Amino acid sequence: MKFNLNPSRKFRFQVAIFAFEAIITFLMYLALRTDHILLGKILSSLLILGIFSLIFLQ
Amino acid sequence: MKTIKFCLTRTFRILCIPPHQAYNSQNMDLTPLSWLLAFLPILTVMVLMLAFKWGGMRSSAASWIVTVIVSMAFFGGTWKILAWSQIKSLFLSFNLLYIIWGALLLYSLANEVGAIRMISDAIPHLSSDRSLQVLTIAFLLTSFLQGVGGFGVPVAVCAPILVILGFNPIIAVVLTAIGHSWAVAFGSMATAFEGLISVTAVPGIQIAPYVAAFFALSYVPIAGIITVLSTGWKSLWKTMPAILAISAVMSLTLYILVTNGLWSLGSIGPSLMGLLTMFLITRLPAFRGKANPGKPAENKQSFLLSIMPYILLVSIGFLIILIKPLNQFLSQAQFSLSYPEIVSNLGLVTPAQKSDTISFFSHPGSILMYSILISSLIFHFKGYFKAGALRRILSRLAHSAISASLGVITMVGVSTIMTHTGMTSMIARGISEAVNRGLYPAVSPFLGALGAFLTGSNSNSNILFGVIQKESAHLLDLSVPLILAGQNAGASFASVMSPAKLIVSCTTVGLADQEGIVLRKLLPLLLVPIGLVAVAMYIWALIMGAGL
Repeated sequence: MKFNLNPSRKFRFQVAIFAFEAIITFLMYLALRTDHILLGKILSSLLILGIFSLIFLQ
Repeated sequence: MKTIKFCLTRTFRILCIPPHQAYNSQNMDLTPLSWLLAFLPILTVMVLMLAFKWGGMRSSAASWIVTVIVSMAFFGGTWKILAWSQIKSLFLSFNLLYIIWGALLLYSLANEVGAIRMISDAIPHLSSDRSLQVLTIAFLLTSFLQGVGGFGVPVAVCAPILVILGFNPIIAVVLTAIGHSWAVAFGSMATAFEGLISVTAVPGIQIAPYVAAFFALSYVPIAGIITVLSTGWKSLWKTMPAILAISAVMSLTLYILVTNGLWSLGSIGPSLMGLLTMFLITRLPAFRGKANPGKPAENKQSFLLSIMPYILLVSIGFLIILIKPLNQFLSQAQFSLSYPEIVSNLGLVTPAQKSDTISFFSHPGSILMYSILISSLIFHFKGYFKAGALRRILSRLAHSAISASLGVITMVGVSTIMTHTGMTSMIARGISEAVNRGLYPAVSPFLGALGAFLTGSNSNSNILFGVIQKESAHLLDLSVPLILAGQNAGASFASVMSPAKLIVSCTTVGLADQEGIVLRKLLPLLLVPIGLVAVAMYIWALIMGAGL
């Protein structure tokens, strides 16, 4: 499976993943500091999905 | 397929059930299989980049996923380790990305006002000898910039100049990367070397002479490789007297500086002396060649003003390094995070710790920003900016920086997850236990190289493997400073071919997603200086009585 995107869309996708990762990481920090276990696990799963999508980006 | 299903099921279970129920708490024994599993993330990156020619970002992402699966299935990883590792890696990456974004912005600004074109037009005035032109840019200028700026700056500045001089972009990145590979160890105010000293508690003055000797040994091969790659074997013999003279001056300068405790000048000093020697050599009739005035100037922009961003970068960098009170004043505003103790399901404890402190105003990224701001003001008042310049500069920056940033964050993430689950120390332990006393000195530079390849940083490799190397040297009754010098030298050479650095290097010459091809060319070439250090260490250890 590959995401064949044109350069402009690829750039936007990368920006979106970059922002997504930064926000998720910040939220994870808050979740860990406030002991919200379930939220932390959900955010970790989202993070894995976000990075997983990069593998298929062509 | 069954193995994948097993790993995914276990990963899912660990993510979904409380840590105390998730895994039988047992320490992971060192076996060939467990070592191979720990090595799998590095193997993934190397195979994908070298065999499948994947780009750095995709390979790093694949390696990250492999690391998560392996760490959770076999090394007691938990979602908390994953989360804290990601937070730590984002903070660590910020330290690097601030420099990378600054370097790319500086390059974009210089390119907008035509400075890169002007520098490449000016090089033929120095000498018509193409080998000397390339050596000046790829060997000396890059090393000097590594001393001043560090991460990403040398290749970001010099590779585009070589492209304008007519070199293939892949060769341009390879030449500039290998050219400054020795300078990483003492570059950026010798942070990597200081890191090694602080984690091992071995006085730097004991390690420094060995490191200086190893780098002195590497100058001729590095300069030779650059000459052969750029102008062929024939010109190597013609250029050899110049290479020998420059290498001798640089070796002597390096030795004097670092054996007197001035390791923060260990890259700047030798490269400056090398540049001065090169200038003197090009004044000799044998090397000056025919006068080559180049093309007539197409506009009336001042050359000096156009290269102002680089002049300011060097000047401000020097001022902040050398004027201690100024350095202390700018280092007052500091920022760091505190992390709690993290325990893996196999009982591996990472103690509570504070992150590296970021001194915001004396940070190399800030030095780049000062240069950018001041030169932008000068260019604005001189009318060097054409309509739409700001948009073009920022667009170029964003397009090159995003891919690089994603690659760096994921690769640093791989390294932090591996550290927190004991995968990194298992790799190092495996190597040090599998190799006998006689051979260990030859292996130690490769261990340093492996750490730098994984983390993208000489400093991180020293921090990761410094203590293991020291302990191995003690156990095997080898000279600790010698082994640590090998660690530092190996890490310095290999850091320039790490995926994280290659992504940055490639974006500046339009080679995004072609990092695998560059790595294929770079890897065998960098094995030359690393191999040379390994042989030198082996012989040195024999002379010192290590025996076989």
